Amino acid sequence: MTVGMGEAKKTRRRAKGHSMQPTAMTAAEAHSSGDKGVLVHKGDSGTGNEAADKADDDVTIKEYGYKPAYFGQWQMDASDWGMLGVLLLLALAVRCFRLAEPAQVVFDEVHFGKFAGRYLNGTYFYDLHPPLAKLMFAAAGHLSGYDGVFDFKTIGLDYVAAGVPYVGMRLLPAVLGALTVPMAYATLRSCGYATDTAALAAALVCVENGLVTQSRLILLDSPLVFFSAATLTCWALWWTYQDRAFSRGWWAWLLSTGLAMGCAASCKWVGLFLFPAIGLSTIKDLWDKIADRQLSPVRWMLHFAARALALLVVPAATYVFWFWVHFAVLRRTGDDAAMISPEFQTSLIGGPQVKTDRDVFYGSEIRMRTTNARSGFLHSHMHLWQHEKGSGQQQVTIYGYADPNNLWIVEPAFNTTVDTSGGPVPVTSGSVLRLRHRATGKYLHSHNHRPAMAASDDQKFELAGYGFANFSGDSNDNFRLEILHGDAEGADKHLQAIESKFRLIHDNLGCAVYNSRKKLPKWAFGQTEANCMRSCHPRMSTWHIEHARFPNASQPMRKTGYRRPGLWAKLLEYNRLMADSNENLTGDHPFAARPQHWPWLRRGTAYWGGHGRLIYQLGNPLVWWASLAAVVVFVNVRLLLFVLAKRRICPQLGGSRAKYLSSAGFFSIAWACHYLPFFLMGRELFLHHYFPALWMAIIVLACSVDLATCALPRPVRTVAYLSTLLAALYAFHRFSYITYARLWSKDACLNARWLSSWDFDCEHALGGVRATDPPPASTAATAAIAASEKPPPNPLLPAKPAVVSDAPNNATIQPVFVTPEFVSSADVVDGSRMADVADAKAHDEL
Amino acid sequence: MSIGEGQLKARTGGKVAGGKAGGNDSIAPTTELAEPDTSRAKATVPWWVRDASSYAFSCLTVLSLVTRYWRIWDPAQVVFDEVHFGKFASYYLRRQYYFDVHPPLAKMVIAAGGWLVGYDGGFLFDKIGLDYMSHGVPYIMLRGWVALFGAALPLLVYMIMAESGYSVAAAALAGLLVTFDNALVAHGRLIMLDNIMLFFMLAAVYSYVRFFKQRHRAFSAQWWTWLVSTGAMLGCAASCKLVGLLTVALIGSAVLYDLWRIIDIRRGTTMTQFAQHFAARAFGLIAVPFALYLGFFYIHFAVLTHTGTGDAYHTAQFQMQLIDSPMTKSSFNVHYGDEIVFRHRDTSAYLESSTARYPLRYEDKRVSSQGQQVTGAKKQSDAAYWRIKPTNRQNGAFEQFMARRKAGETLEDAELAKWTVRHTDIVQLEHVATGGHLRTHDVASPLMPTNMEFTVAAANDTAVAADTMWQIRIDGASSNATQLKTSASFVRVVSERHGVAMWTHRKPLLPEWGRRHQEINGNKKPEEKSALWTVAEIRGRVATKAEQEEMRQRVKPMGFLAKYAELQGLMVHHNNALTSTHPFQSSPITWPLLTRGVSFWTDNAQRRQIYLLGNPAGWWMADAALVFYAALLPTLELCRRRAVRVIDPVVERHLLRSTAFIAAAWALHYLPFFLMGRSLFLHHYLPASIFAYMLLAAMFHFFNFDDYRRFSLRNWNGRARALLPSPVAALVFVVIAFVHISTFVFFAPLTYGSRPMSPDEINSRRWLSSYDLHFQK
Repeated sequence: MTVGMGEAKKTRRRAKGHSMQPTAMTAAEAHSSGDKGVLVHKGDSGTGNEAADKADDDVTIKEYGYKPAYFGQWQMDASDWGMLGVLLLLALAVRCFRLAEPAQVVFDEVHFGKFAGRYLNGTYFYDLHPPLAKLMFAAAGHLSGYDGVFDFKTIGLDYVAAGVPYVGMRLLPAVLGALTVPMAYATLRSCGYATDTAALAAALVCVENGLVTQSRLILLDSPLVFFSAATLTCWALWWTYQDRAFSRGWWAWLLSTGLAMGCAASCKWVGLFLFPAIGLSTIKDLWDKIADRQLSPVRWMLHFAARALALLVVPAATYVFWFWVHFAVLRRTGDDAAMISPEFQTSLIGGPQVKTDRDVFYGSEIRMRTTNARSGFLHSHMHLWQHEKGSGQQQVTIYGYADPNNLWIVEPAFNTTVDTSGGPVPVTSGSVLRLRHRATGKYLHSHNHRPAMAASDDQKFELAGYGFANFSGDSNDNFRLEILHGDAEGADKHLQAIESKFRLIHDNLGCAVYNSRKKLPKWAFGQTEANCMRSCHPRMSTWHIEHARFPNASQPMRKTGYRRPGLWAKLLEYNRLMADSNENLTGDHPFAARPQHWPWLRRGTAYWGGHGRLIYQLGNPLVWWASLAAVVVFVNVRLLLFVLAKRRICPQLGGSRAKYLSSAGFFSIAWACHYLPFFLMGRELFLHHYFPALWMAIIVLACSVDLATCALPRPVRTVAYLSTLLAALYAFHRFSYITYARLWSKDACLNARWLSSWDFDCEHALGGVRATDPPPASTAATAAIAASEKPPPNPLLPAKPAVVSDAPNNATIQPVFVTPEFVSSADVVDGSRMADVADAKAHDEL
Repeated sequence: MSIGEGQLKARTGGKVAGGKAGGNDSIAPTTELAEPDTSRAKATVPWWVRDASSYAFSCLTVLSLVTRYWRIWDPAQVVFDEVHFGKFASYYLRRQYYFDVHPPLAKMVIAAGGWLVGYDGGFLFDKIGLDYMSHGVPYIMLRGWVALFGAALPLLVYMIMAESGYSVAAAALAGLLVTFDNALVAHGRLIMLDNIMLFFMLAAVYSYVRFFKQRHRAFSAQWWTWLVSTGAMLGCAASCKLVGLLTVALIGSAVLYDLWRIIDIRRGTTMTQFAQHFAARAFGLIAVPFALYLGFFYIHFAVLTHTGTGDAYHTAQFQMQLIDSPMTKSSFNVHYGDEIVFRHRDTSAYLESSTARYPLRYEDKRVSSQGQQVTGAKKQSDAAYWRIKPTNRQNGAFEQFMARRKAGETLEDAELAKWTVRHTDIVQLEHVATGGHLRTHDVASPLMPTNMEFTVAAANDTAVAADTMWQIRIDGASSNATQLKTSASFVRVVSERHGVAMWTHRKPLLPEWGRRHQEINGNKKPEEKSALWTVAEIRGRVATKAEQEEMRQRVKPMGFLAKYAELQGLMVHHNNALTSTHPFQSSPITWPLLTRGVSFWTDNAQRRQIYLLGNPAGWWMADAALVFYAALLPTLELCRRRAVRVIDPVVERHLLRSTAFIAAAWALHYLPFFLMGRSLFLHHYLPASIFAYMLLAAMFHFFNFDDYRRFSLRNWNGRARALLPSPVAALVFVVIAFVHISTFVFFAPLTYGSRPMSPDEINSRRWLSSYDLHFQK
């Protein structure tokens, strides 16, 4: 094989290409973060063999040289302080304008106002969001004098009449929202942008109607956006310390990044998306640093450890800390306590206190409880399985409340006895026993009969109570006790109340007493189904005894009770519950929106309305669309630059290539991390889930505007900035009516429907009521609601006479009209329903 | 790792050796120099080494045929999904239209096998366990035909590995692993689609490897051949099951990578050349597969010309294309005054009313109008007839018309035509049994507070007359002249005043007071697909023969593309809707670990069963290989970042290109399932499992051989002095093969269902407690 002429030429050309390389690369390119390895090709150094190089037609083996990543530098001076101050004042003005309007409960204030009240009362509640934001509202409420009595029951309730200091509570989100404005400024300055670009970004954040709406109400999103923005701001500031690693400022900003991240995650789990955003950037940085030969491995490990501490340990500690506060504050039991485990419940003041005999003997009276679901106790009653194909034997079910029908007596197996002469005989693991229902005398029984709720399975059998006078039972009453594990000493051998977790296996059929978590129909009083199932998941067939009593005990018995769970156990249980709720959150909220509709602002969310005024959460469409365009442009520019680099074309983009690619790149990735994962979520979603991502997109927008104008003469650039700002202001003004609940005419409303899919309600809220009409006395409305048992009339529908002409004998009762238009988001779930859903979701089978 | 690392170190010297013949044929170009004197070396190689490749290939052929055909006649009963795919094959032979979520090719292949042996499609495979013998089904031929595809898999795997530059030993190992995999065998000898699809998938991968090796002779005839062949095989794979699209994604990413190399300016490509490369690939890998895909659908429609079980999924126009469609048999124009029955298209509920009223208060404390109930019934009854009346009575002309009809007069066509119901007409619907008019009003419906209640108003109640006006909107109507027909029209009934459409839903049903019927309510989005109804019947109207023929004549033919577009939309929709749970469905995370199988078939009398389970030993070894590879890549990258040279560039390039291709194949055939919401089964992992086996063989090669290309299949260079260069490698080969094959044999009774087993035997095969085999006791 000889080297062909053509190939030799090719080799030469390639060599020439290499020699050209340094000229093609400029200093800025050396700073660019992405293209290393493609252009920094050390070529044929591998073997130094030309023939080998030829054979290896591909230029695959890359060698890496270390290039430090681009980072901005910012020394704050007086003008920066001035700008920050002005921006903050402006933002405060925009957020606090008409803060007292409307003086009624709006949208999810229903939930979060209530929760703040619960914190002040110390009454236990369950919510699927972490506690921090709600704790802050409680603190704000406390400071402004809210006593926790008013319960924010429905949208439209009047604050003034109830004497709720709602303005003080709303001030908190307003201030937090206002702070995100100077943060945008600081972020872009840290990235190396000039004052005008940074100020533009801040101004756009300031006049974003959606963010303004959000931060004027008692909702979780304002604290969330605040902490998300704070994280990114601290992170950007930290990067300005790249050349001063481990200095005091470096540590301060790194640690505050972690702290803010932890706080964001403690407001809503959406804050967790900061971890991939920051994490990817960290990993890339560390990965680049590996190639830095100047950096010793020990030093690298220090870099690694510092980041691990600040970005993993600190946020985790923050998260745990807020939960600790949460548990410490909520000491009293409440309505939602039924959702949590009995151990947890006993730790609450006013919760059930269980005290029971520890050891279980033959002859003991017991009450057994499902261990891994909140369904309740094994139960039977004087009603029969008499549905279509029922066996006609006595029903055995699971029932959630204390009841004498939950009591069973442990007896030895059919046709056997135990010798009780030496005192009570403890029940051991593996022994065969029967359970007699104390109230009816029937034995727990199973047989080859399909249970009520099973469709077509040969794995499930009916569980029944069986027996009658002068009949000693049969072998189908026998169950084998299988203790899975015991939490106390000896509890895995001898059956102990509380401590032993066990299954009951039917001796003949080999099936286990199973909690199917299905709700039985009315003929079984809607209780939960229990059946006997073969090869079922142990999770749903595990039981423990909550109450045991040996009658006629000759000596005092050892007592036991639920152990109070520690912080970790509570934290774990609560978070698991949150995860379940989140996963199973389905609903049909009229304003739920899927992620594909968010970035182009398909529609908003109706929050509140009445008497010619509306609150409809809709972003500033111009800012919204422009920020989306900026992200899309970045992605395309980045891809194009990759391809061009392959062709050895390296446009400098007016000198801001490195700056643009690194900052717009980081914030676009952060945007993607806060947006794309929502596509994987099946739960009900709302437009407000997009807000953290929106803040990031606005930063990208400012970077893009800078890139587009950086080559222009100064005055032209100024004009461009001002016109961008003016356009945003125009749109802000146009939609400020639905942001601030200002009086709006029907025509203006209809004209403002730029997209036909924007469904603010021009008909009901604005039609028919003239703008000059005084709103009705709010006290009267509240009184009217209190007086009638009916749900409050929808404020949006004009009062209508009763339309039920064909129901003469009930003329006094009005039917409820169609569609309550304002519904609080289903973000918060009715506790008892949630527990059922979560349980039912678990798999029946292995 | 320790062995590997030792060898890696040994290799770092940058060996320059090896003869090269026939250009850069291997997928991994090497640093080897040309060495002229290969002839002498060739002579010293013993014959059994020189022809090792052929022997390995032949052995694999025999073994894979034996594993697939062993007792293929047993059980002579319908097993698992033969229920579906056998049935579909029968439908092809009967030429009856059916609907399935999968594209047609694999089923047509099965049907073609049946057609070749003269099977007439007489058996419909209704239930698992039905006997084949007594029904006279040539099932052995059908299964044998599918098994041919199954038996080809190990050979394809061998060829892919060998062409990619792995040693004969590694290629043979991969072939053996695939030959003796229980899941592939179980699927490969029954009438099911997966092995046919797998065949095309692997053939596509093989073609692509061949294509890639032609890269230095771009646009040569061979290059084109393999390019088009890749495309064709991709088209076939995707035409078997949509999972085949994952292979398309795999080849697509490989092509992108390839183009990425080509566009590199250091390669000296001009943009014109690049555009040519791009266009050629777009043609071969997009146009060709798509054309094939469409072609199979063309055949599908051409074969299935008669009405069948799949009709109901389709639009009226589509259904009327089919011979003997009941739609063409009864499609009359509806005239005012007719007593008609409305049937909801999605749920087949009949609109009916009774004298029962809505209860005053519902369970959730909301209050009703207490009007007469309007509900959706499962069965058609007298209460389901509604007389359709015009709102414009034309000064009594309608009453006259009605009177004449009642008198039994035969009316002229022109007279009748005046009273046909047309698109956008405003009508009233009179409930025949109770005499009231259908009405909706601004009261929340019993179950949905957001929708309007439907009720029946007294006919003389003029106060509510506006609520009883309904607009007839015929789906797909082109103009106001479109006439409402029974069966053939889908129609929305929209309240003129409120703009809500008559709508119903299956869940939840009304409680006892509503006789557990479906709720009928007014949906505020009248455009929803679920608001479509058909007029099921006109009371007393039956078609004569002549009328039927006439109606057939009137049907507008539908083009192939229109038919295809409709079917494709339905397939996607129903595929996503496959969310109902199956007792043996599983989540993707459990597949590589093989935590549970699928029970295919049981025979209670003889205590035999077929249980789909992979070869546990093989799957777990393959998992280990995947983990190894996943750990190896970052380690190497890390070393390179610190400029520590660990392995030879050639080996590294192979590891990063060919082996990475296999790993990517595994990932792309596995990870996307995590994104799918539909119910999933173990057999969805079969494509990925083959690639996992290949990766296991690749890792075997990597840790035991220090070179790649000189082993390649047809590129004999005489320098492979030994098939297995070291005793250690030989030992590793034997151990892996032995463990794998003996595990296969151990589990074979479950794969073939060949013999009764005692509980002890069953329990000894429950390597994981979650293997829910039958007859454990």
